[in-house]
Amino acid sequence: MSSKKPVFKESFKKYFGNLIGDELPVFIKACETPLLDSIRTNTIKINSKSLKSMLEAKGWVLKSVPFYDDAFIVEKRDESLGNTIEHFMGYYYVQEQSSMIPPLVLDPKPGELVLDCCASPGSKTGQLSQLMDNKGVIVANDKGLPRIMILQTNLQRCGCRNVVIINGPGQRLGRMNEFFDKVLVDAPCSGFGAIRKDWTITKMFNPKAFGFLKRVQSELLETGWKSLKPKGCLVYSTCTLTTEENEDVVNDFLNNHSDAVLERIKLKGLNNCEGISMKEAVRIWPHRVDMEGFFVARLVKK
Amino acid sequence: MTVYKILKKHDLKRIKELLLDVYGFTVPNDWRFYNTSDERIWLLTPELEDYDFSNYNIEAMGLYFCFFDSERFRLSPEAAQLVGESAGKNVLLISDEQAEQLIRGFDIDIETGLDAEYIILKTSKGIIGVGKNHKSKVLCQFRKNRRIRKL
Repeated sequence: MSSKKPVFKESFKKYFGNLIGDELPVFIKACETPLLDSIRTNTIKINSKSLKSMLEAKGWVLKSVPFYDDAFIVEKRDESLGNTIEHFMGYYYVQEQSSMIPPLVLDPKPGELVLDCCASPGSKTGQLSQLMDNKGVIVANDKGLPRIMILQTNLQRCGCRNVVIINGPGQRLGRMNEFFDKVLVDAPCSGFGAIRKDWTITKMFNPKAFGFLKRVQSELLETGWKSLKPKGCLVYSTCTLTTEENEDVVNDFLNNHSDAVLERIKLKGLNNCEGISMKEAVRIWPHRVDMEGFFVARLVKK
Repeated sequence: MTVYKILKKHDLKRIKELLLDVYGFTVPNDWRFYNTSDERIWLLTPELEDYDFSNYNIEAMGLYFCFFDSERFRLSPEAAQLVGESAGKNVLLISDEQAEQLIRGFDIDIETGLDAEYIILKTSKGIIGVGKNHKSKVLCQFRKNRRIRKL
């Protein structure tokens, strides 16, 4: 990350000031504070206790992630996270804490049929696979060969053998009508939740783009819903903080789908993160919870 | 699009024989092998057989397991990890320093005393993959995109 502090446009401050009021200065300060790295144990290959011992023996200092026993915050290390033997062997995956929430909320079981609509680079797909004990089937979709290659490499390194990778626009998956037990729609977004990792994002703040993104996100949510079996569960998530791409997408969807129920998300150890006028959802504000900004909603089909 | 076909019976039998003969490893009943046109074998969960995804643009299915033709039988690093934990032979214990050399893309000088062409490489941390057993060397078999230059 650049050593220069981020520059926040007035439109950025005004937009988020409208959402969080007095909290804006603390929010801005949090955005300026780099995130500590976090890793997820790949339980397909190793258990968390063994991995922790292995890494601590090298001098790493690890702290538990409050809501997930198989993840650690890396407080101290002397080497790049991606350049270790343990990473090469697929023992862990470098993944931001908040990005681990959607698969936990989806809670897939071994033997289930799961769709991951926008899967690359594969952090959540790999997590889904390990939550399913590498059993059942995950259909991991993304668009474009470069993204698919990254996805495939990551899933191979993690030892996932229950994943089918499909290349194509996510919107096309609606042909799989009422097919999946569970669906994850981790939609492409403006990415403002990731400011702490990449300060250049602030330069791209443009509310005019939110309308286009919302349309794509709504289409993907619609497709995911169509492919979901009755009684099935869908998780919608983004790594951004705008209401247009989060609560608005979910509210519009609920208004058009009488068969959809928004369920309250409960994760032990995850507090102070309700959605805006949507208590059922999780919204991670970086100044309230020391993580990347994120939004997660859980919908169940009647 | 990649076309996956269930492995022909005689090829499956041959792979099972090779795993048993070369590594002393017995294939579990719930392993399903498929192949693609490029002589590559993939390991899938049995549940994948219950569904037909042929109408979709499939790029990959399951775990790349090995390269297999009339001359070569080379396990992927992940397959070596699966097989190696209970392999009875042709597993070479190497030091972490030697493992680092191989992961960086270099060959190592070592008298293995083993007879297989591709041997499973084990370190104190676990299995890292296979190396080619060639004269007094073990040759790096990791693809370039998997190697780590700065370890």
